Amino acid sequence: MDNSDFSQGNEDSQQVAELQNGEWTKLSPISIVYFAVRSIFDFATTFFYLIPVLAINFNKIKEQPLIIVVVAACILIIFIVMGVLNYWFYRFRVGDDRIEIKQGIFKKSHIDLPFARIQNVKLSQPLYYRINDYSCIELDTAGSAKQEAKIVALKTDLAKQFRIKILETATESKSDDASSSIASADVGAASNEVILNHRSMRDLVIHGLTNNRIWIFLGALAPFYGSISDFLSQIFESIGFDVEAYFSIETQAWWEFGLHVLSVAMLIMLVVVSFSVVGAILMFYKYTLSKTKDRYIRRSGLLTKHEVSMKLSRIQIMVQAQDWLDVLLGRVNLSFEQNTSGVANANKSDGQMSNKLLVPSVTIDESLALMKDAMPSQTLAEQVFKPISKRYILRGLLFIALPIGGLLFAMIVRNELYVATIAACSAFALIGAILVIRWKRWGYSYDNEYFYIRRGFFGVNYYCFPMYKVQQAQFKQSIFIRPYQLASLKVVLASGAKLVPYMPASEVTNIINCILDQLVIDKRSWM
Amino acid sequence: MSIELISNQQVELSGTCKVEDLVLHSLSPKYRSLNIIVSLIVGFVIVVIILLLAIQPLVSMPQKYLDYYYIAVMGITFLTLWSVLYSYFADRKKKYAIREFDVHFQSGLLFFSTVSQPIMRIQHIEIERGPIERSAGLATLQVYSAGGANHAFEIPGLVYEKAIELRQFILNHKDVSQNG
Repeated sequence: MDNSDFSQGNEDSQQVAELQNGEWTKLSPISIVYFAVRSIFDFATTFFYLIPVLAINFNKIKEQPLIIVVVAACILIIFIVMGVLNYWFYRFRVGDDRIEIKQGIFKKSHIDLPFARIQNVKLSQPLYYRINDYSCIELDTAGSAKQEAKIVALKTDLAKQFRIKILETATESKSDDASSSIASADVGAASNEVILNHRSMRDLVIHGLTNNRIWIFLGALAPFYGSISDFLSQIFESIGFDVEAYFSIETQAWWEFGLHVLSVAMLIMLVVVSFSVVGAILMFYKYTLSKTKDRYIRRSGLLTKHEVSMKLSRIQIMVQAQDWLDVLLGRVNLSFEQNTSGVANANKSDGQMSNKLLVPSVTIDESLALMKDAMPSQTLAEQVFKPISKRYILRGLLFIALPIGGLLFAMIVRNELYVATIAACSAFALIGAILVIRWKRWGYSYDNEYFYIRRGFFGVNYYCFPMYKVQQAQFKQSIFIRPYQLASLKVVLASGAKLVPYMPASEVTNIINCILDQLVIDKRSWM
Repeated sequence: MSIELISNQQVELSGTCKVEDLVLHSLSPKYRSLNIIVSLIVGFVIVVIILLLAIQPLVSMPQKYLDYYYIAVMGITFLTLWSVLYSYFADRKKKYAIREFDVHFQSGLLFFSTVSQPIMRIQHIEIERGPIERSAGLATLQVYSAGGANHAFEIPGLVYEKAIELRQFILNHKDVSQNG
């Protein structure tokens, strides 16, 4: 299925209305597959530490193949039964303004979720749902992670329609009564999507190169590390490759050894990079970022298709991140971040997190255009950043470089004085150089509405947030910088805190006053 | 009610007032003495336990313990004195201020900080009282925003009635009831 037809289809609104009849509904039987697969994943994540035990006893087990077959069959049956039971006990009911879900075999749960509290609606389509064109709807709530709800199988068209319905109800209930007629008139408009950005295969390859997306694989392969290394050593043995001799310092010249290490490192890099590229493609295949009236929607994915939507007003901060390789290639990763108070995202990788909307490896111009679209009045591109105090370097030299250099010196000095001096000095100089670069990257700027931060090391990141979204502001000053009239500014947003160190103290109080004064007048919600 | 009294006071502060020249209120003087007493008691109890273990004839302790326990005693005595001294000097520095639209808490002896919390961004408020605080009639006011529990705004060492008053002031605030 093509991504573009995700956004088609209005004729199902009648079906949605049927769905909202207030009766308990069962899912389509195809959800059994979903539940079975999910219980396999749950099982694998819970019991993957048992795999080494199995591997050790592998020889014993190998002698009785019948047992393996029986055990495997039993486990498979258990999964299927789990799937069926989960399907059997799953009921959902959709009312005018709320959805209720009852689920669970042993541990029953009853979720009652008003549409108004739904922050995000996420559609995902696993591979096995693609045959019958079903999708999962995940409903994220603003606060508590416990209340997260999922309707496991709905026809994709219906799911899309349902999503629009939920989001419209959510916005409607927040707006005043007078404007509700306008809101309902805009029903059609909400489904009018404009595609803002899409990523080509070339972009994804660049993204894979510049951003280490190998974790997608490492995560999936974690249970099998032991068997992989066994397998590799078996291969080496069978082709007559002696690993120990290859890396032995005694039997070969130092340059030969160095060459060997280098070639292996290159080989590993090559593998890592190619896996990373594949990972990027898996995650961001056919990436599109589109915009409806008040929302951004991100769709991507090769095997499992993800669809994440984020309300524009919920964006707390925009981050334009650029690693050193990105700097060379002129690409940036742009992300829109919303609040992180839910714990549900804590152990998800950043590509899947629904509190972050990532636009991978766009050009700087595209990024600026997207940021302009999200927050039209910000002027990041025109900002002249003010530097922080050079004492920032001094602090690093005193508290990081000096102790490390001293430690190195103390460790080596007993044997060789010269080596110790050289090592200590070069460590000091290296850290000093890093500190200088970091200091050079630090910068801040602000206008009447927005605050901008620039920071980084080899790469450079830009942050931009509207001051009225600030949750809390902090003025920080240690006795070491107090005599020099310096201070650090910490700003807490719903998406996390940002700190700018070693600014002039008067500037910090100025900014805090500016933020607080703005909040006195500007009563817009941060959500 | 006294709530009106607070908001009346603050009206004249707000508007012209900047964060750097806020009029700050001290915490209850009991707060510091309470902290000092608690550190002394905790330190004393730990030292007594270590000493008792060394002297008691019932169970024979390992030789290493008997050789080195005095180091632990010295260490804990030092830490206790340190925290007493720290409380003595640092707790005086803890102050708070309330304006019409925000609350502020200032603290720090070596690392000075002022936290400013706009009332409009407050999500919920708690008053916390441990058994020791209860016995002294004190309370801690905790204010949570969407910034998360790590950035909870806290004013310790308030007289209980004052804490209730403050909570009521925030709850009655039109920013919380309308926009919060």
